[in-house]
Amino acid sequence: MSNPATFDHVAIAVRSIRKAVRLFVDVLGAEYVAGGDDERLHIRTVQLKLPPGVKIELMEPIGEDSYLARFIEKHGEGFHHTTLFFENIEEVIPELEEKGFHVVDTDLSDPSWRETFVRPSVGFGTLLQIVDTNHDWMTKSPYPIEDVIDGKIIWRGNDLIHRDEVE
Amino acid sequence: MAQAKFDHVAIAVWSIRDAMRLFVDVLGAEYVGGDEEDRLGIRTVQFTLPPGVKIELMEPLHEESYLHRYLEKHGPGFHHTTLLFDDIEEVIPELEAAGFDTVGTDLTDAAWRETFTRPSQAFGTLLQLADTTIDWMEPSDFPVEDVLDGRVVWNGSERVYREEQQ
Repeated sequence: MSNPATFDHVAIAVRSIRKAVRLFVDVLGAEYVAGGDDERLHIRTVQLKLPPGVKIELMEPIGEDSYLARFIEKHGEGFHHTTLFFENIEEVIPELEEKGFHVVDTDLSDPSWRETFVRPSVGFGTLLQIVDTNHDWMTKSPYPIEDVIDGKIIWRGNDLIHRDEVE
Repeated sequence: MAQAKFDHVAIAVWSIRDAMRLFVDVLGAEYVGGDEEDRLGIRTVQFTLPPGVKIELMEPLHEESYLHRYLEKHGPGFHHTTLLFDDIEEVIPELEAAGFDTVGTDLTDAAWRETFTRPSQAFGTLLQLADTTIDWMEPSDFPVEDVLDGRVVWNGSERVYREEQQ
């Protein structure tokens, strides 16, 4: 067996991050870490931290063409995936395959975020995102959460930038 | 404001034994403890992962279990997330004041006092909110094989062997 997984986050698909923040941040005390729009996937995400050092990710679709809009349409809001970090996912992938847990959408092209997925059909109903990364995803974003929720912040690779800085 | 601590995410499965092949054998989660609750008709087993959170696998013991009906309706998958607080009695009025109704509140057992948010109000997630006097990260003395064989039960305040209970 390779090194154990580190639990990074559980992601929740929601229609409105703004509304969900009222529960997870305002009442339950989760702390804003970072967030932005992923224009490739047409989603907005916000990462919130809870002791002992794990995150809840809120994901909301941007526009009806987003795969996430279709997901919510079909399944409703709720748990979407869990992300586990490993030291080296190239060791994990063959172990998964060997034990009969087929992986999909493997992308090893970016050393700062190499990923693969175990589909719910083989992962006991759970979508598992299996990742290794050399980036520290607990670093607090310089941008306020309000700007993220307003759609002003976008991901550029692993970096966050303000829309005004692009245009 | 309350401060939640992330305790575990629970996954409903038909067979804990089968699911362990993924979560334990391949992904490296480590067995902590588990038991059966006859009242609920479920068996649960908890596994830790760094940085100190758990994955709980839950399976129904028979067809009358609510979890059997859940699995028939929804299939296996994420079932709930459990957050721990210093004092759940402070959290409940904060939730209610913010418009999130709590259900299934049970404050009778100091070892585990709990409430739940409704998925319909909590963005599709079932949140179990609890405070507890027990350290649930302490590895159980009961081997996982005994738990899977149905020999370990929760008697309301601790784990005991089924044969000792009767």
